[in-house]
Amino acid sequence: MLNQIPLPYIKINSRFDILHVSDRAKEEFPTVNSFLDIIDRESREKAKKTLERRINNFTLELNLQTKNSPLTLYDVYGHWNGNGEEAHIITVLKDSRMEKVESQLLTLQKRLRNTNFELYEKNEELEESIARNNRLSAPFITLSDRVALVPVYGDLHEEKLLAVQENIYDAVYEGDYEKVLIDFTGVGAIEKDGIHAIKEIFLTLDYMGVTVILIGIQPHHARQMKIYKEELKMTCIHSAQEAIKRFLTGT
Amino acid sequence: MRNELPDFVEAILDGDQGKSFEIVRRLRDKHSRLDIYHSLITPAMYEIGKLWQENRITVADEHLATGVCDFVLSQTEFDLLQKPLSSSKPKAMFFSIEDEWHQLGIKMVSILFKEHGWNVRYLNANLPLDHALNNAKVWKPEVIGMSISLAYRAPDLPEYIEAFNKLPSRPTILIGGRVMSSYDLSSIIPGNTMVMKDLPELNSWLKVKKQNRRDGINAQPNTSSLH
Ligand code: B12
Repeated sequence: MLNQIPLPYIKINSRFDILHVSDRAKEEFPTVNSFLDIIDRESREKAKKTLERRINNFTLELNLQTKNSPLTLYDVYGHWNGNGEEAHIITVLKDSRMEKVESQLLTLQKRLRNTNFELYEKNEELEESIARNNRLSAPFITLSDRVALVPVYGDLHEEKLLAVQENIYDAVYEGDYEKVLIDFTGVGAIEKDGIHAIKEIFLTLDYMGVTVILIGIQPHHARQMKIYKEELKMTCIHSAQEAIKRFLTGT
Repeated sequence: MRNELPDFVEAILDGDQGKSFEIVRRLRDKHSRLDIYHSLITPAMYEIGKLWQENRITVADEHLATGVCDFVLSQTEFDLLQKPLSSSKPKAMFFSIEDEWHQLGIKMVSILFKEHGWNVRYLNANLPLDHALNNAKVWKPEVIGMSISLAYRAPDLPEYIEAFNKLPSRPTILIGGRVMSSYDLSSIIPGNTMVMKDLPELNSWLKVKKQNRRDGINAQPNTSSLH
């Protein structure tokens, strides 16, 4: 009757030799003498430890070697008879759906990760080109040993001004300038955080002993900068020509 | 770090991401990533393996613990992602071979490469040879690192190594993983492949590489094994 039960059934003796295997067990496992032989090398100690205690009923997760696969996870249920001479063992394959889910999860993770790479790389490229663009929208032009001109192009936001700032600081630090003319003729809109950054450029250059002169300020710029105009003692000059004429002659 | 180990093991078994990360975050003030991976997370996962051996937890618990560690590792990687990638950085790609799902080890390796300034592509676990090869052909990494935990998967390794060795870009091949430290596989691994037993060994190699790069010596790819 045991031969027909719909799960692999194995009977062993106290030395773990196999005494009997059901039809289902024959189908599933290779033919071996010792029960230990179908147990993965790295599950064997675990199996032995429990089997040797000969407790009446036990349950164990073990990796078993099957006919189809070198390593498969099973729940192993066992029962030793009263004097510990024979044990009845039933093995239940761990739900293979779990394996399927696990491998699908991995595939998903992989896809996400690859998408991340690509997005990340594209993002990097984009950021690099924006940064380049920002640096290029405010070239530092040396007019004389003491005077430099920085024409600024486009809309001004904090990030662009950070790049502009870096450009100016680096150049001023290396040179010996007295005046830096910042030309706003090509500037579109100035964002709120942009105004703040302009103030910072002013203050820093002031500390470095450099006077900043604003050129080509349009009415809407002036309105926005009004709050700082007093505080910073900003000098504004209408056009670049006029400024150059004024500061280049005589230096 | 031995003091934190029991708490960390408990936290990952509880699936407590917050507590696990808190332990790691606190340690990060004083310890390197290498230290934390080698002396906290790896021993914690080995401890998980031991608890399974003692029949005190099941594989379902291992899944949970792995998930939490994976999360914690991603967190320790986060600040490295903020640094800009640059095309001048050397490239390295990592994965676990087909039918090999164990991936924490190789993930740690990939993060350490990133920390040392490499441009890294981490391709997860269970990566078939043709996928790996395609990636290597297109991206041309200088280093290809593989991991293997299941003993019975070892016979597939030479096939991967041979395929990579044929690439014109001549990548350096690194292999590690539990199987490498607990079985002797020297007979199936060709001599020009580097087999590494743990992260400190990898770290020394990374340092030498970095120094060579600074000195302008471009170490010959496929140098012989450290063993
Ligand atoms: C967690 C775990 C799992 C998780 C893995 C989840 C994941 N996505 O990673 C899950 C539950 C999914 C799992 C599944 C299985 N597992 Co498992 N698993 C483990 C366990 C408990 C810990 C592994 C781990 O994360 N270690 C921590 C990492 C960090 O260590 P590491 O991999 O050794 O890596 C370090 C070094 O080796 C090195 N390194 C690693 N790779 C590389 C690469 C390079 C280039 C370098 C330089 C260094 C390097 O650096 C790392 C950091 O220190 C081990 C037990 C153990 N003692 O290892 C069993 C274990 C590995 N699993 C085992 C088995 C049998 C399985 C299953 C077949 C069945 C099962 N569930 O039990 C399946 C296999 C699925 C498959 N096809 O891969 C066996 C393997 C036995 C054998 N004969 O090979 C073990 C040993 C348990 C056991 N005693 O039976 N497992």
